[in-house]
Amino acid sequence: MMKKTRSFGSYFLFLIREGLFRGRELLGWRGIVFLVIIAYMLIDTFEANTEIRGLMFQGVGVLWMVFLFPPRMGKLLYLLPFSVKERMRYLRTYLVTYLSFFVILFILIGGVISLISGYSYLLWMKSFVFCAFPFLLLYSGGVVKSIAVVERGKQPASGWFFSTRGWYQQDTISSIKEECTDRTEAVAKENGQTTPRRKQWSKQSRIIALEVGLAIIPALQSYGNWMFTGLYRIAPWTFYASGILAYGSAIACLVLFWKQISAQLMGKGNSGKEEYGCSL
Amino acid sequence: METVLKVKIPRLQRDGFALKEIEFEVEAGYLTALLGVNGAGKTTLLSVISGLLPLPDGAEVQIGGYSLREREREAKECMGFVFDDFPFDEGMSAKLTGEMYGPYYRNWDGFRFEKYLERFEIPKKRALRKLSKGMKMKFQLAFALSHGASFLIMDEPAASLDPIFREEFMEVLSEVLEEETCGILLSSQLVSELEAKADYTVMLHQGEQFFYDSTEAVLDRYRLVRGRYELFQYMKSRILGTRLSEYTAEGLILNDGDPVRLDLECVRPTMEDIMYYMKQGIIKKGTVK
Repeated sequence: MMKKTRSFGSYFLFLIREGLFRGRELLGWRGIVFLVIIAYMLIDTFEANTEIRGLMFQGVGVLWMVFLFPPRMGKLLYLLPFSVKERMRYLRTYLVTYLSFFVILFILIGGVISLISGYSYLLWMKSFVFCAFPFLLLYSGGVVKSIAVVERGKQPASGWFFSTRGWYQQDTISSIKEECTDRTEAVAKENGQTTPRRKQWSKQSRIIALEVGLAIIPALQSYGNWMFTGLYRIAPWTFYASGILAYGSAIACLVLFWKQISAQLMGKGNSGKEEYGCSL
Repeated sequence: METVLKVKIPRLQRDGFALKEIEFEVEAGYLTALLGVNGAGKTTLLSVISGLLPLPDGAEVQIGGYSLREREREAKECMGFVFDDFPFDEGMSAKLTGEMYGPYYRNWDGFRFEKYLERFEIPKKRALRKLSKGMKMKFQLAFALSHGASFLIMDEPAASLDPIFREEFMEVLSEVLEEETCGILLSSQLVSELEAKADYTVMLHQGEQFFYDSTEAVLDRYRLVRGRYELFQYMKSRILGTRLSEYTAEGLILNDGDPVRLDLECVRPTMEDIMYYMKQGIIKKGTVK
C-alpha cells in the first residue's frame, strides 16, 4: 500500500516535481523561442554597454516563459477527490510553487547574464524586482486560471494558445467563485433566503475589476516593452501595430467579460438557470 | 444490492440546452448503459455526475452514498472515470501518473496499480501519448480500480477501439462487475454491443430521460413484424409504426402475447430499433413502462 500523502508539504513537493517535469516542454519549438529570447536579452545587455537595458526586455521574456509553462490540471482538478476548499488550496499551492520556480530561474539567468557581461548582480536584482517581478505576479493570475480551464478535446499542451483561448473561457477564479456561490445560494434558497441584488452587483464588480486589471496590464506591458526593442528602431510601424493589437485585445477581453457577467446578472448566470463549467 | 449512484436532476439549463427530469440509480455489480442519439444530453449528464459541471438547484447526485453537493471529496473518492477524452497529462508515464495523482485518494493502492499495469500490459515508463487509444482506456481503468472505486463512470470508452480490443475491454469490465462491489455507468454509441452487456438502460432523448429500466424488459416490451406490407392491413390496429424498405416492410407492435400471422416474421427488436422508433416519435415517453 502506498503511503497516503495529504499534507501541505507533500502538495508542495508534488508540485515542485511536476514543475520540474514540465521543464521537458522546453524541448521543441517552445525551447527555440525561449533560447531566442534569452539570446536577445544577452545581446541587448551587451549593446546597452553600461546600462542594463536588457532588463526592459525581460518583461517579454517573462511573458513568454509564463505561457511556456502553464501548470495545467484541466479536468483532473474536478475529477480528483478535492472539495472546493482543497481545490482552492491546490491552486494557491500551485501558484506559490510556480512563482518560486520562476523567481529561482530568473535569479539564475540574472547570475549568468551578470557573469558574462560583468555587470553588478545586485543592480540586476534591483531591476528585476522593480521591472519583472510585478508582472510575474500579475501573470500568475493567468497561470492560476490555466490550471483549471478545460476545453473539450484539448490536451493541455501548448501553453500560449491554451492560455489565450482560455482567456475567453470561464476562468478558474470565477468558476470556483461560482461554484462556491452556487452552493451558498442553494443553501440560502433552501432556508428561504435570497441574495440581494446589490450584493450580487458588488461581487460582480470585484470580479470585473480583477479581470479588467488582468486584461489591461499585460497589454500595457507588451506595448511598453515594444518601445525598447530593437525591432522598433528597425521598423517603427511595428510599434503602432503592437499598440493596436494590445489595446484591441484588452478591449475584446473587456467586452467578453462584460457579456459573460451581464448574462449572469440577467438571470442566466449562477442562479441555477444557466450553468458554467467544463464538459467532457 | 448496494446503490452506488443516485441521480435526480429536475432541470439543468446550459448553453441553450436543457436536461429535464432525470432520475435513475446504478447498483453495484450491474452495468447501466446511458444511451441516446447525438445531442441527447449524455455528455452533459455525465459532466454533471462527474462534477465537471456544477449541480443545478434542486438536483441531487449521490456517489457511494455521499452527496456530491455536500461531501464532494468523499463522493469523488468512490468514483473512477474512464473518458474517451483522456484527462491525464499525456507527457507523463503511466507509473509517474499513478505516483502523482494516486495519493490524492485515501484508498490508493500503488501495488495494485502496478499489478493492473502489468496485467493490462501497459508500459510503465513510456509517455502516455505514445500508448494506443485502447491502452489509454485500460490505463484509466487501472487507475480507477486501484483506488477502490465503487462506481465507474465511462464516456465512450470503446468508441475508437478495434473489435478485439473492445471485447477484451468489456471482459475486464465483466470481471469488475462479477466482484459485485462496483457499478458502472457507461455511455456509448455502440448500442448493439452494449445491449448484450448492459443490465439496465437509461435512454435520453432531447435532454429528457425517455426511460430507465432493465434492458431485457425494454426489449421484451415490443416485437417487430416483418413481411409484405399488404399483410399489415390485417393487424393495422396493433401496429404502432412502420419502416419500409424496397423489398420488405417492418412494423412495431407491443408484445402483448397475442399471436401474429404465420406469414409474418416476428422478432425481438434491438435497442437500435427502439431508438429509431423513439426518434420517429412512434414510441413516446412514458409508454415504454
